[in-house]
Amino acid sequence: MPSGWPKYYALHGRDEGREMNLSEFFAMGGYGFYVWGSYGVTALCLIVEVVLLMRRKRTLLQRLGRMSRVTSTEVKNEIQT
Amino acid sequence: MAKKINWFKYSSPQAFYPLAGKMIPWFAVAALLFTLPGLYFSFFVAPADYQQGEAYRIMFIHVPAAWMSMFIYMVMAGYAGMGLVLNSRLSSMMASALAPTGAMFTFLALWTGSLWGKPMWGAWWVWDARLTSELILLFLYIGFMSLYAAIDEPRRAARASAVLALVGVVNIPIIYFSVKWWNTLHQGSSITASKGPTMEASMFIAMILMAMAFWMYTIAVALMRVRCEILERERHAEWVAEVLRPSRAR
Repeated sequence: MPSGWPKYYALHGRDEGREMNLSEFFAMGGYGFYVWGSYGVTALCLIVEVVLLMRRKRTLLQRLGRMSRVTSTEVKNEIQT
Repeated sequence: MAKKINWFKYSSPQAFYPLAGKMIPWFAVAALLFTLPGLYFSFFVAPADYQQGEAYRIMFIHVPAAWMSMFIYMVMAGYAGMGLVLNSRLSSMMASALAPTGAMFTFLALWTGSLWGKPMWGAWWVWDARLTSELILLFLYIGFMSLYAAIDEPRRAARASAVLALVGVVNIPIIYFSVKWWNTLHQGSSITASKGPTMEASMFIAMILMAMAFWMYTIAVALMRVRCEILERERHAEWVAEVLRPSRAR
């Protein structure tokens, strides 16, 4: 365990009270796939939703900005180039 | 004389747009401030379960996600109903802003449940009353969003999808009480109003922290989405042109 890492104790079985190392922590007592599969997909979903919303807002502002400028001459120049 | 606050002021999309923009960072920060201790309690403070070992740690996101899937549906149906009765634009926009996040939490409740069910029950999925009614909830969300998207005229779309949302409310008590009404494989509630939490304090704290984190996240994301909805639907309004002006400087 890196220093400063919270102490994580095995609270069941033979080694009760012993400090766990990092690989034991990730193994989650043999349930690593299920536990990290749950937490990982949840984190991914939340992050992707935020990223998609930020992109939606950005493209929306660009599109609306373009629409509102369509009458001005500077945009006509932009389109021609 | 006390100054009277006009609460209806913020029911107009024009007034709500900047207010929502100011609220988003606060809820985003709050979500993070609940997530960090929530994860700490979930992995480092809460002890392993005496029956399920470490696998039960899925509970700290599974239960809050399932709660959110039901709460968001109720709030969404409430807004949709308000839009139906009062014909207020912002309410139906709020309803459609909540739907995708609600659907996501429903999916996450099913996904994490499946990953919990496999090692504990030996099956990814069973046609148990709790699981089936939660799956129906996912279809209700998808139905609400598709119906809304399928009708071109926004007011008609809002009305039709509001009716669907309100009819679907009947499914919420079915989900909630399914573990009592039927003999399900899904375990009963660990927290009930009559008995309180039947688990260790640290487990309960972890679950409440994660639930708060999901709440704050949901509010932040729903506000982000409602701002997009407002801009899309009001794009021809004078005030939107005002909002867009500073962005021209970029």
